[in-house]
Amino acid sequence: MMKELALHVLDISENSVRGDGKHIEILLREDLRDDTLVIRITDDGRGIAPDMLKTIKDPFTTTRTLRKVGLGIPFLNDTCLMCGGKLEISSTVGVGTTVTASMQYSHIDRPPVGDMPSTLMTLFSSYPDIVFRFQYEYRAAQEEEMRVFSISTEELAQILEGVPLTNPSVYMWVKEYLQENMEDLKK
Amino acid sequence: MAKIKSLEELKKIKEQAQQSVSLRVKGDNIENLVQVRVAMATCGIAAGARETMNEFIKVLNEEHMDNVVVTQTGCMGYCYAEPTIELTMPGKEPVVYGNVDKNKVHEIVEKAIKGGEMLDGIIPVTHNTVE
Ligand SMILES: Nc1ncnc2c1ncn2[C@@H]1O[C@H](COP(=O)(O)OP(=O)(O)OP(=O)(O)O)[C@@H](O)[C@H]1O
Ligand SMILES: [Mg+2]
Repeated sequence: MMKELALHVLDISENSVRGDGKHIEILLREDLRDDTLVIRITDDGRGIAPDMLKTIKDPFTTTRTLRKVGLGIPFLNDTCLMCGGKLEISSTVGVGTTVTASMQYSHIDRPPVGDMPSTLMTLFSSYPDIVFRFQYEYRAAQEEEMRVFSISTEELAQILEGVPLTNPSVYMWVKEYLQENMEDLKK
Repeated sequence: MAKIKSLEELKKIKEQAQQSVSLRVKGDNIENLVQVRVAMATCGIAAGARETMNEFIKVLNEEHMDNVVVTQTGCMGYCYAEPTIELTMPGKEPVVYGNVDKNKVHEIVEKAIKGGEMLDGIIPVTHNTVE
């Protein structure tokens, strides 16, 4: 089981990478007013065939060959069900896949969001050829408006002009940038 | 009130990075390149592979060891020994280490990468498949 939701985000995004996604969008929404937490990961990869999609929440559904079980989706499904929510997966072969996990925000069993900046930096720095876009949305209990923070590796690349994200000072700066902006959104 | 970071500042960070890179001798890195690949499938992630990767990046940055590249690999099939990493020293066959927690990361950097030693915890590689 995953200790943090951010680890599920990393794991589900790895599916998108392995599915040949070139654009991967990650949404994290903490909506205290509606008491929901939503994670949505969308890619433009090869998609999942309808037959497989039917049984994808079953651990014995995998295209891996080194082992007979695929655990990423079943794990996230369990977490959602345990927390009064559900996991929805829609996919079109040749177009891409969207995985949407929802949970009751205040549910006692809901794992903490955890270290999203770490998850994002792991993805951003490992796959320089994939465009990642992250959006964080937060709405306080008494608020109407959703607060939004977003970042994409495309805009970072424009500023960095060829300097890789793996450059130590760039890496540290971007990680802190994510940390500060995510914390700031909740103030 | 402390001001939070804005993307404007990243430009400056980038320029500083470019300067310090150009000061170093380029080109002597390629044949000395060390590769660390962290297995990042579900079992690995649940067992702490993200932290393992972060720790490698942190330690290598602190030690200014910029001849070491840290990336990911898929499932290597060693679920019982996660987090696992594959270390490739220049001109050598890859070696797989199991149960790589933060302490092990330090040991690998100090002894295996800097010292060229073989450490405990090597998993015999029975196949070359990674997915
Ligand atoms: N975004 C995606 N694009 C294409 N195929 C996908 C995607 N997500 C999942 N799949 C397919 O669904 C299968 C099951 O995914 P799941 O994450 O549950 O297990 P896994 O990735 O095979 O293994 P594990 O997650 O345990 O490392 C995958 O093997 C893959 O074939
Ligand atoms: Mg998976």
